[in-house]
Amino acid sequence: MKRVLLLTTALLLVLSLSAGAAPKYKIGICFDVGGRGDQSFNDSAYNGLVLLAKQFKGFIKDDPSKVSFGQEIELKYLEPKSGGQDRELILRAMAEDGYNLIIGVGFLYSDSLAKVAGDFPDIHFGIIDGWIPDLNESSNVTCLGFAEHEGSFLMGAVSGLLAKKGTKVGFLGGMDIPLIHKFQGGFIAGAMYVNKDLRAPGMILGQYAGKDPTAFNDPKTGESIAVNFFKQGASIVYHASGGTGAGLFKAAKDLGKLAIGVDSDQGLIYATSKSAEEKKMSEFILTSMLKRVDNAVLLTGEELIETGKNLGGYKTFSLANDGVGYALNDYNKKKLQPIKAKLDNLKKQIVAGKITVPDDDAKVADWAKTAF
Amino acid sequence: MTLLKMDGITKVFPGVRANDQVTFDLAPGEIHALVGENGAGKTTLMKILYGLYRPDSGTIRLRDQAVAIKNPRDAIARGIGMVHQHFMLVPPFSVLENIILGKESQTAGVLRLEEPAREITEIMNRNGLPVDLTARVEDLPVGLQQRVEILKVLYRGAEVLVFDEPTAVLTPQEVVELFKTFRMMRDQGKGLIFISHKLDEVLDIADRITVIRRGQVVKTLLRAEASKPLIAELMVGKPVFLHVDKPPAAPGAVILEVRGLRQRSPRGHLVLEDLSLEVRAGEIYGLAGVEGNGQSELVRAITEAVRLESGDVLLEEQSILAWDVRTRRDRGIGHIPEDRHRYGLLLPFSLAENLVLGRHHRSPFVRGSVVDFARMRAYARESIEKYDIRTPSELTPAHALSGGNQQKLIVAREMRFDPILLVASQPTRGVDVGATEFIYQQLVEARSRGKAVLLVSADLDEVLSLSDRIGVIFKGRIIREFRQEEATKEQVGLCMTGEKRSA
Amino acid sequence: MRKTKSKYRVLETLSPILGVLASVLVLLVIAMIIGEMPGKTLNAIYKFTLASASRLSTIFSVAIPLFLAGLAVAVAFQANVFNIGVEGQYFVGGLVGAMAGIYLRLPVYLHLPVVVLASMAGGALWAAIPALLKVRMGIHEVITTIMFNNIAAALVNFLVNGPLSGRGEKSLEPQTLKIQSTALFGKLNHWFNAIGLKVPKHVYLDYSLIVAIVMGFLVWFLLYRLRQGFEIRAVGTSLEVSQYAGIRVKRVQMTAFLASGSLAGLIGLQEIFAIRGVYTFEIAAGLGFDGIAIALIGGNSPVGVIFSSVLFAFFKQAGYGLQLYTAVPNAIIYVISGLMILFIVVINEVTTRYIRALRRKEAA
Repeated sequence: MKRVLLLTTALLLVLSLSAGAAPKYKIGICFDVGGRGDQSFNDSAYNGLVLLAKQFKGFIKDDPSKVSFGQEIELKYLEPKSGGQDRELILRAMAEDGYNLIIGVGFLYSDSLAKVAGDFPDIHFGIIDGWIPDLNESSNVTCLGFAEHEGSFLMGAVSGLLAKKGTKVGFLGGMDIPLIHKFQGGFIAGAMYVNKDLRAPGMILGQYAGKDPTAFNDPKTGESIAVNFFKQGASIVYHASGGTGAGLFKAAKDLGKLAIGVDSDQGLIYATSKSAEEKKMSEFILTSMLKRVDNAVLLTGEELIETGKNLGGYKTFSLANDGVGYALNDYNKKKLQPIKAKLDNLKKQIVAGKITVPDDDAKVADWAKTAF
Repeated sequence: MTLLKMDGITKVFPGVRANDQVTFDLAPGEIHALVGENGAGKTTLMKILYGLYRPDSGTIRLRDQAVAIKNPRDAIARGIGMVHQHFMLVPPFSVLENIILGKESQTAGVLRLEEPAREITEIMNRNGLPVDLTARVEDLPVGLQQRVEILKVLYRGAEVLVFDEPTAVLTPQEVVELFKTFRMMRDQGKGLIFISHKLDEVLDIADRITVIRRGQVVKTLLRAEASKPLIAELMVGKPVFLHVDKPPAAPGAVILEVRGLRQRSPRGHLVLEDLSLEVRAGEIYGLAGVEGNGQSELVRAITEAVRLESGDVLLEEQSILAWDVRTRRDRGIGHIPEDRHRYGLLLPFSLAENLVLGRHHRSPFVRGSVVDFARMRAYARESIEKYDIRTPSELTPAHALSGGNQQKLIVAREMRFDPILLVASQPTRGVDVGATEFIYQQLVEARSRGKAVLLVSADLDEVLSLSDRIGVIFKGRIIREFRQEEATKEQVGLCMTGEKRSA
Repeated sequence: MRKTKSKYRVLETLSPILGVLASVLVLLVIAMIIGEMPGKTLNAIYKFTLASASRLSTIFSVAIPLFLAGLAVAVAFQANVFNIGVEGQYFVGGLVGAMAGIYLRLPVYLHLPVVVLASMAGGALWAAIPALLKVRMGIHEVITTIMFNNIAAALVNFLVNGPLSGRGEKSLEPQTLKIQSTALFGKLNHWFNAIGLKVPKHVYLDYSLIVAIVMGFLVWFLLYRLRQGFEIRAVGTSLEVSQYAGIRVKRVQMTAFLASGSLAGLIGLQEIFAIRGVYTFEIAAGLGFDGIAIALIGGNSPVGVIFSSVLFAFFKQAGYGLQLYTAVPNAIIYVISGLMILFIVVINEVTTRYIRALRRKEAA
């Protein structure tokens, strides 16, 4: 017994010694329920940590994949068990543990992050997709928003340019909330902008998978909506529905139609998947609207490490700063080749402010009066 | 040669010596009865034999070989079989399936049935235990279910068979059949241990009788030297008079009137058919009959609201059919249920709580809605004293009491509620001699206090010695009524088989 | 009335502790396989649960809704009613309470009790239908309450997204209008600070703690002091004996079911009235099911539920400690909490049997 104790103490000592010098900065992110491995939002944020580690000789603490490029920056992620008080709990835990920058992933962190930020004025907080009112440069909170409508505009353009004459295009939304309507608005505008036929009523289909959070993870419903779209004459369908989109890809493969992914480069993920079924599906994924959560995490961390502090307020990641964009990879290069120039031109016009993109499908009608 | 010898067995549980230097032996071809009051240590001894307990000291020898029995599986392998009081059968399985369960033989995963069936049929014939092997156990009457239990034990090759109160659930006819089987098994050289409270049966069948009291063997008697009073005296340590002394009846007004009850079972059989009877104040009306002839249904019709095809039940000339159990109890119907564990007691609840159950909602045990525990406990202490309930305290949970004391608790409760009608169903079933005597006294006492008592019992002696009038129930009807003085055991017994004419 | 001799009491209290120790042991072994030394694992748990006043008081804060959930399930269990629908009753109860907090205009001293009562009424209402189906038609409550959980979730989502939606221009989360300030639950932290217990201001020890204490006492009083409670326990022990004793079983089960539903309605108080100030579609899920385990471990008694809910809160916090300070992943913590329930239930059953055997010997 004594020997075991001795051994344990010795080991602990060695371990604590090997930890070495304290890192310069500690940066943490709090995932949403679902955590790592969602192949979407949370994973993209995690990639942001990996990029930070690579760039600044840091390491991700307690991570099963043992990402480590040095000891200068400590990176860490946590995940709540359920909603309620839990988000506030883990934000506070990181704050109390001395993290310099803490980023909440997802709009659900808004309320709890505002509270915790109030208690820790010396720590900077970021929130992805969230909204906290009345911030300014000296606030210790930055809202990291995305111009999803701009990215979706390009997806609309891809659809409008590639849809065969006389066919329709479709939009599959996840949960029916304003954020997803932002995607829808951009998509419709883009499609109408490049394709006159699609400006006629009924040519752009749209439907949501549901009104509760499960609508983001309901491939069955996704599939049935997609099949329905295709049967109504759609040839290309774009989705902004998280895991529900898997149903769209299956329907596209089964019916030989085309799909567009969202958030990450889903075409690439499927093409490099180990599953033959998913590999097959990738052939039917045209491109994806990239929402570079990883860039947002990287840029915010970079700001801290390079300048020693973060500016508060509202930061939008748009086409202009590559916060959103379209996915181009070895697998879809050929398909996009004919329209690539047009897409890049549209992007330039949006960045230059020559095209303004409506950020809600309800605003498209007004927008259309002056746009073309 | 002895088949089994248990020598100097001692088993101590915290606070009690359940077995104290017990010595017990069994010869091949012998029926050895084990008698004693509840809690005397019979069950502990048998559990040691069956491998459920380990003795603290003492030896067990089987055919002169010392053995250590680790568990029931081990006991079975050594040829010890136990027929439990509560059957260990799977109701929806067939008789054959139940018998081979746990000893199935199979070929390539397929159950072999013909071979065991032949073997079992042979065992049946040899021991006088005919049962339809294809019948489902849940459809069989209790007596046949017991046969299945016995077959199960024999099929496993038991040489030593333990029967724990096997007659408690049987009709007199079934007991006769069972004893025939006992004798056939004895003649094949098997050893039988027979545990019973019924001294008549013990004297009828046993070759030797061992009496246990307070964990010790008081005496082992040969049949020839045993008599009922002697055994009873050895059991309780003082002479018991099983004969009931009661003053002559002075019946008063009709308290309970049952008029033309007709009821069908869920399967559509008539279980009560035009049944009528009256019980008067100050009289005990005994209901004799083979179990399953409508006794339970009749009791239920009196004590709780049931659906009847026709007929009426009146208490003091008032129809009670629409009353629920609470109203019936509030209006003065007391009930000693036939299965005290299932119906009579909240086993995890304290004795005090059990003593007020059924009247817990009334003064003085509640004030407003608040339970008056102090009053309840005081009441319980009085009852314990008055009804001689043996318990460490009034807060002891009911499951910790012995069977006899549990029954006394129920009798105390129902008596102290001061009912005008007391329905007593099998009031002494599975109860030791001491408690039985006490319960008899209480029933007679109720009668003397002018209560109407309806006694339902499978024990004909009990009915005959307690009742002022006896009704014989057969197929849902009262087919004949006797006054006590004109009833003989033979006559009533014959009547119970449906024979109306007097012998 | 359930007073037992002290030697049994010791055994009874010891058994859940053994279960906890066994599960901690399993946790340490798994952590070692992952590569964390036991010292570090235990230290992580310690740091996140007991190391500071903030952590310690947070455990009690987290325990409040868990306690109410356990209590709700326990009351029903006592009457042998398996109310699996606490989850749904809590969604609906919370929404009804929130409506009272949003749309009624009352002075504080009325508004607070009114939202509590409205929450109870909402929970009871949602329990009433399965309860009626059970006593009138004999449809088993496990089936109906599970269905009603799903219906409640769908209904609440619909209402919060639709008719009752109070979504601001910029808030992305589907939610109701804000609850009026007169109905918001303040914190009691200064009370604790006044008596020398350090509770940091961010910890939610709010009015819902008072509600929990009052409800705990009321339930205890109902079960062990009132005739109705005696009947609830009798029915839970044996339907047949209760029927024999003239207890109106259906009425008793109905009462217990409704009491359970009312308590379930209170689970959301803390989150809705103290933490968020609105009712959102995202109200914490799973508390109703935690309640089942908590009631089970707490032996369905209010006092037991106090301990088991604090224990549950402790382990929930310990889980975050492990996540923050060690490489033990979240999934393992779920496995361990499941194991803990199993261990406690099994060890409890063994001791109960042992005690029963001892008692029998004593009485023999």
